[in-house]
Amino acid sequence: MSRAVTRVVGLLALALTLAACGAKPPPPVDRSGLPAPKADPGWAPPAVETWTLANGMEVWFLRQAQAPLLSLQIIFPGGASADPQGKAGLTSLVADMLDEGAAGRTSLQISEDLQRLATDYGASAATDGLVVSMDLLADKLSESLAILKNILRSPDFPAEEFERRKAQRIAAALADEAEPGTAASLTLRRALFGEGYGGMSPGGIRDTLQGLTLADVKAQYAAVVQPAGARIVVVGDADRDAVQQALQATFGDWQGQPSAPLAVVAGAQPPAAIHLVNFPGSTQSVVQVARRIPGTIAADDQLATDVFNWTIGGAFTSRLNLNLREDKGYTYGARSGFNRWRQAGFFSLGARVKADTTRASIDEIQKELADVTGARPVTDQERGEAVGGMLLGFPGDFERMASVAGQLTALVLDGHPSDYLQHWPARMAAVTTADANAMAKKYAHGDFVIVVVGDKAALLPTLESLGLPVIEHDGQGNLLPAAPPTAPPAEPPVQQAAR
Amino acid sequence: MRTLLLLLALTAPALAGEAPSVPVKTYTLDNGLTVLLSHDDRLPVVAVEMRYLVGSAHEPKGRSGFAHLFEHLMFQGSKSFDDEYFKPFEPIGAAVNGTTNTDRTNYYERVPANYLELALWMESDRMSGLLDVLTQEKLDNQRDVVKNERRQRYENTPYGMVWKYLARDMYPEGHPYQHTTIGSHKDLTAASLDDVKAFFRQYYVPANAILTIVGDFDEDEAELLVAQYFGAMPAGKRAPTPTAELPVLAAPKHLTSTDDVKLPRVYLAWHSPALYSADDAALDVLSSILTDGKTSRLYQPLVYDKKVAKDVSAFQASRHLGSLYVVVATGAPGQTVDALAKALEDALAEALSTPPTEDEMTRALNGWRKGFFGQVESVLSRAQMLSNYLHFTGDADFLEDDLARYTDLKAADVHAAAQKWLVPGRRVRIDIVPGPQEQEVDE
Repeated sequence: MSRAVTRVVGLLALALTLAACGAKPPPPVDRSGLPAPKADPGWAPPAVETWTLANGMEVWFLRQAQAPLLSLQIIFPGGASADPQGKAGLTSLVADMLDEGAAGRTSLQISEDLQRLATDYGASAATDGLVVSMDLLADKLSESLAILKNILRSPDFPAEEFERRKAQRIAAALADEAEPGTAASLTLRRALFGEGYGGMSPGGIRDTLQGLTLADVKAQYAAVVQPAGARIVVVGDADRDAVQQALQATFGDWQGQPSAPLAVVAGAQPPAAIHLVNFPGSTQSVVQVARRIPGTIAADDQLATDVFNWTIGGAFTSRLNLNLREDKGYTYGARSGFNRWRQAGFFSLGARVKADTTRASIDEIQKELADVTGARPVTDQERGEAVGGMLLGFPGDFERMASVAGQLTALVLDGHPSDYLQHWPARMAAVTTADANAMAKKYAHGDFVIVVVGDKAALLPTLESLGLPVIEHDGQGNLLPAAPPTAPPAEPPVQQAAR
Repeated sequence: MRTLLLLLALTAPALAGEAPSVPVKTYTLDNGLTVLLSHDDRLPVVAVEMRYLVGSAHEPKGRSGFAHLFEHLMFQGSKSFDDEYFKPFEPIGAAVNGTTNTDRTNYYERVPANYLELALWMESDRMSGLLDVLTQEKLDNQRDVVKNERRQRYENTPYGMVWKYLARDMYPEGHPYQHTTIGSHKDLTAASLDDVKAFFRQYYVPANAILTIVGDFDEDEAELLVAQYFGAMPAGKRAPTPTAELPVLAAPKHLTSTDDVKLPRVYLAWHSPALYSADDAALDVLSSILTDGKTSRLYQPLVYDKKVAKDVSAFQASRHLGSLYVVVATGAPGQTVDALAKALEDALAEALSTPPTEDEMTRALNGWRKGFFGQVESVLSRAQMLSNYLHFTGDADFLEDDLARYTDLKAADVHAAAQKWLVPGRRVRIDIVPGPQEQEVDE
């Protein structure tokens, strides 16, 4: 009865509202089904303009005038994959050192020069490229480029700054060893790729950083930070001619070829095994189940894997997350991903799960993989949701300049052409359910490595019963010497029953 | 009766150095639902934010974490759509989520412009019909999920437990901020279906909510849809905001805890003025002067020159009932926590002894000015900004005033704020040192 009364009062309130503003009464709410959308307004991504500076550097420019901001990124090919064997982190350290003194301006002066312009500067090494970026007010382009010119073309590499940045990178690597997600990521890469391409963290680990010298940094700078093959991405509120002139004035007379050899992918997909990192007392475990996939250069199936991935673990409503989180309550979130660099990549499924559900979570991940290649292939409805989700979400990726610039930089790193985004919607729309299921057949089986970061003493009995070798790593991803056999547990492990 | 509070015309396009402009129309439905509309058709997207004026500060004793647990239940289906809330949204590429803090809970969708009605249908269905389909099973499942969120973001993140210690050690017993938004395992376990029902009936009502729509939509049509979907709901009551005096510590406190970390860390914390109140912006600018850039007053001595710290940061954690000012330094490898703390205290005393120079002010304020342009780039961040303004200042059209809070500051204002609030005798020092994570005795 009380509901009926409030209903009446509510309707009365609505009537008063409408009477007051003199509008027609709105139609009653139809709750029998979700409302249909209005006509699709249609939208196409803006075209990327390209041109070449006098020295051959290629520029990708996208005008976005929603705010007086500019985002500029320069990609030097190679990146962490140009780190010599045993020197992981060297290209990252080169990136760190660029603004630590240049053309006679000291590290501290450069920091203040940038702050006065409100220009945010950064440089880092991704697997396939060293990326230097600036986010700036649009009217500060020439002043920012004047600083960037010094940083890129005339770094001074002072010895005391090198020692400081090296120590900072080692300290950061050490601190990261306490972070379970980072430990899992380092171990996953090492388990899949060893010390070859993709195997080491781009930032290096303590063991490799310790040995780096200032001479290494200078040599690597000369081998990597060269204009030939470098690309410049500019997104934001500026006139093409002004950008063209400013870039030409900054870089047009810069000459040089990169010479760093790139790492190659080591061996083949390793055999199935459990790779364990011991975090004593952890109330949660990180679980990752992963296998190698081809990189962006070789792969012609990236959009089909995007659709397959959405279904298996890419979306909140994916099979994996609905299972591990929304049905079992083992985790705050479970996801999968096809992570690709140029020469190689990996498909992984994982979650951070309550410690006593570690084994059950691995079992469920394996069950999802088995199901999608067997009894429960990707359905037409799932394919439609995935393709729709990616296509209709596309305009939202163009709101923020730095993220648009980031998308273009990702295309450069992956070796895609500048018109990729123009053709992407039609290509995505063409992915069929059969295509998605072909990806399941291709990638959702075979030897998967299983990475677990958690309390070894509590987990080992349930992991050993999987019948796979257990290989231990430290928090840097390094293999640990084989441990002596462990004593059997005093009591059988407790399995939390699924609800 | 619809009250038109404000309608601001667009000013000239923003130029560098000028303020960004976000036009907003504010009105209130008869049942008390406040509506904010801000049109912009640069991209065919629209953001909907539904903000309920309830956060963890409203939680009774023994129910820490409840407002956030409740937020999770809002994604578990409602009367006319008893399924995962994300299901109709992911196939249209929407960005959907909810967040809870001490002072409010918000829910948002960024959808393609032609799907505005879907977002309003879904938000109104759960606002009116959550309890019709709520079950013990859903509560139990999301309780497990939230406990895992706590494990992930607090227990198994280096230094993650410090947020609990800050809440516990900065506030007196019974203060609305004395517990964390994530809550304790014990209190999460105690939450019952009856708690959920009572909470929903008290707080999830039109009079206690702000609906914000930003992006590419037709204003007349949006008003009609809002009236259609929300106008008939019973009003309920605006929940009183918890009140609390800004605590004053009688003496400095020093606490130490162990955690599974590699490097020691020192937190210094003070009570500081509430969000948008006097000195709040001055303390933000102070943070830039202390730790932004290599020549900042704490970074240079601690990280660059003496190298006792791996990193140092300072921030004003602004909240509605009173803020915390926090300075954090992580030791470089080999440093003891006491050596780190001594160096930090000395550097801070030196840093606060003189007003910022004009050049320091220019650098800091340029950064803040540019930050405002970044804040209005996306429809979702604009929606949250507008509802924040209305909720905490009473005026959604506060952007210009907000920017002026910063750009009007003089060096003397920043110095005075630092002297007034960062008093050595009124700070809490929390050390986190490497060791097995401290056991939680009561949970």
